[in-house]
Amino acid sequence: MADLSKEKFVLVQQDAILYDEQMKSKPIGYYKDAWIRFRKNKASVAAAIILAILIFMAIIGPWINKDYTLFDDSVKWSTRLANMPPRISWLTWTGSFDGYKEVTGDPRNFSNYPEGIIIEQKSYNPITHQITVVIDYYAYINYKYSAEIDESTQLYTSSSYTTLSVAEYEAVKAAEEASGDTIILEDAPMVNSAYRVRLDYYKFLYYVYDVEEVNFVFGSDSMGRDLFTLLWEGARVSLLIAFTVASINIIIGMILGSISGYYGGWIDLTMERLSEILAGLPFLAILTLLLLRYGNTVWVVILAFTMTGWLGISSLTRTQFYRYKRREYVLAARTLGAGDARIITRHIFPNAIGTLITSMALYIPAIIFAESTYSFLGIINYAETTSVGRLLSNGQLVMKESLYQLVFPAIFISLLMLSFNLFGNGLRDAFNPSLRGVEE
Amino acid sequence: MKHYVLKRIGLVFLTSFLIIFLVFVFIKMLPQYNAKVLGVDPEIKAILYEHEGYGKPILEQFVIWIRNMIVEGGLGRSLVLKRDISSIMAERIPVSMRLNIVPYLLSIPIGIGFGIWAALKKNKVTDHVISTGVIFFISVPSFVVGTLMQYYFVYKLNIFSSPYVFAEADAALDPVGAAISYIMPMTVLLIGGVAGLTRVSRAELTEVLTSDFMLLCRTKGLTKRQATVRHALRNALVPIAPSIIGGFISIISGSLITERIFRVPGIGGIYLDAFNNFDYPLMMGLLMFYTVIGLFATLIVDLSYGVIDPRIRMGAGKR
Repeated sequence: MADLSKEKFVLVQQDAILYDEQMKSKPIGYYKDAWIRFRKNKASVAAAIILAILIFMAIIGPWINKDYTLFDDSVKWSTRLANMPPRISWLTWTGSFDGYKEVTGDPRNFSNYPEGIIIEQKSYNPITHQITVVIDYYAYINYKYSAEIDESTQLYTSSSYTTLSVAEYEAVKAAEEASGDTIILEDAPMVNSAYRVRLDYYKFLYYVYDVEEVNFVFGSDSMGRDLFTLLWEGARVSLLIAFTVASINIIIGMILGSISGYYGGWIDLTMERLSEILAGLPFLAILTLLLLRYGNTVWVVILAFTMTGWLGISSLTRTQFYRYKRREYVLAARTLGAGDARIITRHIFPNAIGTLITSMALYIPAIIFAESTYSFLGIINYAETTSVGRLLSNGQLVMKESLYQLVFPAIFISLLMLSFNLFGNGLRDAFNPSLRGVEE
Repeated sequence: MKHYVLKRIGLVFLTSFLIIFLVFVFIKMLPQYNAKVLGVDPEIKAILYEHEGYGKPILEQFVIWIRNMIVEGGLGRSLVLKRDISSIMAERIPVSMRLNIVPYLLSIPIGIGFGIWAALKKNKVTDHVISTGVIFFISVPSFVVGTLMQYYFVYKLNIFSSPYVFAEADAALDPVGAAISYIMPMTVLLIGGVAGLTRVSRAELTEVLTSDFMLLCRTKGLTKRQATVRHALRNALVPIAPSIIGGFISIISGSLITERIFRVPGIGGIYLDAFNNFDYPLMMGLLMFYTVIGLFATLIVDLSYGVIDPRIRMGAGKR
């Protein structure tokens, strides 16, 4: 303690004004934080992208292959194109999408086929005397409806002939004159105001029906409809139902859950008892009875899903409200004069939103799952569209001969479910980091 | 406890009574109901009028229906199968149970085993493989798995002779073949059960393994194995056990999808037939069955929480 003279001390910052240091980084809000966490989860991001593609395709898909929807009004022509295997011209090198099909039959059946239809002979069964050959099915169909020769009589078979009405015949004649191409291979006089002629089938489709090239990307079903178009139409309906049902149920569930959770007491008690009864109603009962009563339409299905679907969301919201309504900050808000509505919407609800978002993301795939299951079972069966589940059950019946009719809907629904679930898991981890890996 | 259990059972009876009443009224009010059920046969018509109270108010018909059920054990007569509904159910339920019991029993050890394995190796390759498998099989619908299985095992690899299970008549002639034909549907059910159980048990065990008391176990000197087997496993299984018990009840109600794909003559398939043929009395009987089964499954799950883990306040179990 030697030299502590007064001169050695200097007053600092006597005249300066002190400020807090400015924040160097930007504040991160709840949603931004979630977004950053979500981005880190590569599987979920990939799932989100696939999901976006699938939804996009469901919106525009039905319009891509317009050629074949035109067939709807002429069943006469399109049934000839039934069960066509998938063909995509730039994918034939993969060994699939080449439009080939395995056919088994008597060897004599194939003896008259012209060059190029039979691709290779697979096997011969000595017991039944049948051979299995791979044929170019697209070429075969044209042959069958243009120039098929019966092996016993060596005459053209009846399928080679096409019966045209007068108007159709005139259209073909006009097209022939305009293009200079031969469509009619064997002309015939009019009998009973119809012409039974032999014509080049694909050229006929090209000139009269504007089908540039007979080409089914995913093949055609047993009624000659384009599977590609059917699949996206079904997807559109499934997604429409899922999103509509989810939004209706979220709104109802959140409102009722908030009210019963916030007010408690006799309101809560009544709602609980009511929910218990509704929850005991099997969904199967609701669905089948409503369908029987009001017919098999999209809106009835939506109604069935919304009858009891809101119960889960309501009880989830209610639990969140029970958790937060006794907190001090709610009391503070009330002391400051906030009304019930304001406390519910501005103070408690934002706390519950994370939990609700995540349960939502996993709720939508559950609806799609249920819808496709019940349409697979044949309970849901819309008149105007073929849902994905229906396509699958149709495909199951013909899977031995035409596997693609089962595979494409199966891949679609699996991919959709998988990406929805992965996306939902990613959202849950992002919004509720504390729940990571814990699934309830 | 006893008082609580009795109260819950009473509530279940009350709820099922209410639901059955609602369903009954709804079915009776369907358009075409009377035309379909009464048919054209005057003899049947007379029996229905006399025995089941047709033509009386619906409330009265319900009372008669309930009385018939309690007094005679009959649920009415199926329109298509032309037989008593309770005897149809008595014949079909064992088929469904036979199909469901094996996958149910097998899925418990396999599912929990995978779950434990994944949780212990969390964030290692094993965990990733198992978790990927779980998310895959939970997402891919069982009708996709089932139909593709039929294609590959029957038509491609020729392992099984038919994609469907044997009919009753064939089964009597060739019991071994019949048993083999049940392998595919059982596998489909097993895959679904295992995937679900693995997911739940992995999640529960992960939660327990990261909790504070596990750290205490290690600090007091237990090895990792001892701590896991004696403390973590027990606590992790508590929330799983009730759902397993609940699953046991639902094996009675069969599975709509698997029975449809593999043409199993069980209770699920018969509901589809009833729906497609507008067999209203049969639908009524089956819906009553499903309602009661569903409510009892919930009840047993709730009660078993209280029995297995008394810490959980009675009636507040998670569903």
